[in-house]
Amino acid sequence: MSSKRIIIVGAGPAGLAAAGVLARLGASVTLIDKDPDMGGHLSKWHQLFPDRSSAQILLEQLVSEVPDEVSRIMGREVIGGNVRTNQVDLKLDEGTWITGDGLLLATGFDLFDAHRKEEYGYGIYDNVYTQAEVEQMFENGRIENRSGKIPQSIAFLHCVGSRDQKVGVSYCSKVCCVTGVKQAIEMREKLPDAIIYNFYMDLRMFGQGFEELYHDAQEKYNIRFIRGRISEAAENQQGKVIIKAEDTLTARPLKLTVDMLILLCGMQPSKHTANLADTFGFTTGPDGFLKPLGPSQNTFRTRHPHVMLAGACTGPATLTEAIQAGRSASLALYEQLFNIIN
Amino acid sequence: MKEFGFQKQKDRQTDLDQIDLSQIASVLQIVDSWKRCIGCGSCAAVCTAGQFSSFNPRRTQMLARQGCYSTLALEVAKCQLCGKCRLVCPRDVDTRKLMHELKQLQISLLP
Amino acid sequence: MTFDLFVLPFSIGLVYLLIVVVERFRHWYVMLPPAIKKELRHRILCRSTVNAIWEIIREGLLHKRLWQQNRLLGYMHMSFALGWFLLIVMGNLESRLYSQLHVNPPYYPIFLKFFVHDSHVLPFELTTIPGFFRFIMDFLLLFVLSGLVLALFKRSGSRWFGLHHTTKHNAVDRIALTSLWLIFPLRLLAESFTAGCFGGGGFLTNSLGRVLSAALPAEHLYYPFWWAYSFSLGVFFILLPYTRYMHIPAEIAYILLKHWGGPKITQTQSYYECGMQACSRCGVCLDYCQVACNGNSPSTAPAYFIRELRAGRAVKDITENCLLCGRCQDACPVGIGLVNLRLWARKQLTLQDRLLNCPAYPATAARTSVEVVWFAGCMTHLTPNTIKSVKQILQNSGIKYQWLDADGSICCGRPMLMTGREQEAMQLIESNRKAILDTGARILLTNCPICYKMFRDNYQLNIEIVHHADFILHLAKADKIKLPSLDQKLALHIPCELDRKSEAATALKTLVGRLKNNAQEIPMSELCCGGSLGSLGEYNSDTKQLCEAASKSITQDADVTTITACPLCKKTIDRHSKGPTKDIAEIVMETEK
Repeated sequence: MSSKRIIIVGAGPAGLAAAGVLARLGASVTLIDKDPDMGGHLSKWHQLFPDRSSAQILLEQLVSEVPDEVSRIMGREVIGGNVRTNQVDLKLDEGTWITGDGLLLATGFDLFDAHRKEEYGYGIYDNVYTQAEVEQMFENGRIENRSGKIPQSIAFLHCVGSRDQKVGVSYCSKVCCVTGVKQAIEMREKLPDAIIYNFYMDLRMFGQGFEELYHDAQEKYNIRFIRGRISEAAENQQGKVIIKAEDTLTARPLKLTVDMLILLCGMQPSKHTANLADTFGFTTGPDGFLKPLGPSQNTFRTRHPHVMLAGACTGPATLTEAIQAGRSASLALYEQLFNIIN
Repeated sequence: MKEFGFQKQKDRQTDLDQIDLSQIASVLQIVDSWKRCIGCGSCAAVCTAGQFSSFNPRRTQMLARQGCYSTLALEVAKCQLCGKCRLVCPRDVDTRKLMHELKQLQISLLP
Repeated sequence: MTFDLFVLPFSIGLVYLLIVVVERFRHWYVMLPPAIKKELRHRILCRSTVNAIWEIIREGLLHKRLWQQNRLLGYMHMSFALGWFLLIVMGNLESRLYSQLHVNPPYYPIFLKFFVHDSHVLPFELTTIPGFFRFIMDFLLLFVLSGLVLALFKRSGSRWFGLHHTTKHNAVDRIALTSLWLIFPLRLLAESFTAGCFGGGGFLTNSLGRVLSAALPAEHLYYPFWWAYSFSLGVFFILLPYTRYMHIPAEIAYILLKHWGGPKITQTQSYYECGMQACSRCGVCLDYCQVACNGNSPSTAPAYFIRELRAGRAVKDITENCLLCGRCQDACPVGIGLVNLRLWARKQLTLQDRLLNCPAYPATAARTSVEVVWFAGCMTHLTPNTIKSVKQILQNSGIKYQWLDADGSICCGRPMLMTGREQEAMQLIESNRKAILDTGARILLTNCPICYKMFRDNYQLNIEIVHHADFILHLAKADKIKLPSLDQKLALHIPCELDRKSEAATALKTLVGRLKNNAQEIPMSELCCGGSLGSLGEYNSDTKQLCEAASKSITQDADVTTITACPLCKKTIDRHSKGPTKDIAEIVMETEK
């Protein structure tokens, strides 16, 4: 079998899953990532929803499924290139070019930059965090605020940079709801005496096991859910965060002082994704994510038969969906390059 | 017999079969962004009038949507039209213009 | 011979015009509140009258402000106003030479050349008195005609004038305009034909008369032209009160009211009505109105808005979608209070709310002896970077202060006022006023230009009101804080509510100038960001368009930091421009961190 060279950009869950499949099928795979380590956001996570399994174990599995023959170019960014019929040339930031017969993009997402919602005080007040920083705290095993104290009251705020036209994001990032619930439960386990709040507009528990997690958070873990979006935060003399929201279910304004405010930031196309879309002229949707050919059938195809998309570069996705997409897209690419159909 | 204080009152149901929403429809036409409200409460959270009075912009607009005119008339009068709510609405509802129009409507509804 | 039937159209028109104008003036006077009437009578014999007359000459005849705006337009208006005025004055003097009566009928000087031919006077004679008048009258006619040629050009292509937009007319306007434009050419022809038949006339009419009489049967034509001339004058006079030409008498009344009425005159019905009539619809405002330039609502520009008002139509859209940015008012050559005029129209449209019960403040802290009372403003609470920076500035400079709205406040009342609800705004003013004065502070510091303007203009606090741009500059001058020296690229957006000519706006410009490390010019915009609370227009679409245009005017680059001094401007610009947006306080304190 003549070997076909396939380039995968992005070594997150989708890219790793795809690399594993394609390499086992016999393609010659090159995996590129801008970070020095593989795993993308997964490498910075502690536990996964809904089953609280370890992110690091999953990552090890995904990495171990990528055979050694796969060449790995880490810490390099694709900055240019051409997509031609049956061939793809990519230019890397160090100046070298690599050529392949097929391309699979799995360039993923960035977390919404919380600085953009100035009213929440991220980067201004000491004790405002994002969910990514909280995962690091869990990973390190220490929950403490900037002055080294153990927090006694914690508020999670949902929909930061999701469903918010003020920052030009009208879509729902869908994974933050359940992430907030999962992190609240983890907090409770670490801090049995703390008061833990979740402020939300809607809780969208769409996946298998999500609603049950929410149920447990209320019943077993005593998390307090308040339906109202926080609109303003201030800081007091002790560095605590004073938040203002409406408790919409009693129709009264609400003021609360907490030791930590955690912003559940939404997903936006990664900077890398946006750059590649510009460079190669890939179609993007109104949300800025790469737009595949079809909404249900061809969710990984582009107008170039030998270029596929996978994972959160096409829109907010759960980890499960990203891995599935990586595998599906790689099979489709394999079929295309090795003339399985036609 | 012991008096429990229960009294039979007029039905408090919002009766959408009976309510005339034509006046609200005209406001909806002027402020069409109003249709997008999802009731998140951002406006009520920052409301300058709401922290010192019973005013609640989210509840007030909902009273209007459901045609509860008598309560609406009393509520919307408390709005100071400061426009702070407009800066936080995630659905970009022009809340200030809405309150301005509801004030206009409210006065025409008063006895 | 001192009478002919053709003088009737003119005479009837003039009498009618005088009656209407006197009645209007009387109406404006009668409507004034007694206190202002008293003030007005008192000031007639003061310097105010001298100032008023000087302004009437300067603006009504010479059009100084319009000259400053646009030379061609200034010349055009001046040639009409000053030229016609001098024609009347000189014509009257000239007619004295030939009339034995003590008082001439008003038509006599106007049609003098019909009644008096005096063919002994040579057309270019300057040394004799009649010859001098002949020359000067023709010269003035030429002066007016040159303005007319410019006016024709302006209609055909306003870009010659550097104007992007010119005013459009309705039917009555068009008839009046046509009759006005015909007056002087008809006078020229009538006088020329007469000179052609009987001799006389100056360098212009005599020469033209000779040429015309050689080619045309002048003896049959001169008389109909005198009729036509009189008729065009009569039509113009009768239509004048119902067209924009009412601005000619109204501008005089407006200037007099302004000088005689005292400070409270600006809030009176007479002043609004007179101001409305004083608009000459010169069209200068069209290019200053961002909403009009934006393309969606050209009628928002004051020229058209006032036309609707004059027609008795209070059009909701254009009354409400004005940004109240005040750029038109700064540019208006007549000096009409356009912002107040719009507010007045809003007041007519707005139903006053009888129910508002202003919520009471929570009990304010006991009177402490602080120097500064700090009122951040409600919207500033949504820009915590500004709050934090101002707090640091206050602490670093060791000033004793009380933060009045640390836990929030009620509104300053200006947004309410801007929708035309004066009584409700008064309730908010009273409540805030008490809270501010209870602190006993000497200086009121605010971070929101909306509050700043309101405290300054409507609160009568008798303490110093300072915006933080001015405050920072003062501290820097007194060496109480150190200003950073910045290498990054900057652009400056001046908030409208800061008032472009106020101390705070000047301080902001000076301050930003001191921050830069290099000699590069900082691009500056005095356009409205589009988020103005003055407007009740389409918040989503209009604001986006206006803001993008305003930010484009200073920068298109993502690496330029836009500096402003208003939480509302900051939020609006940050959303619609490419680069970062920062408050002046924030940028001053940034390097401290």
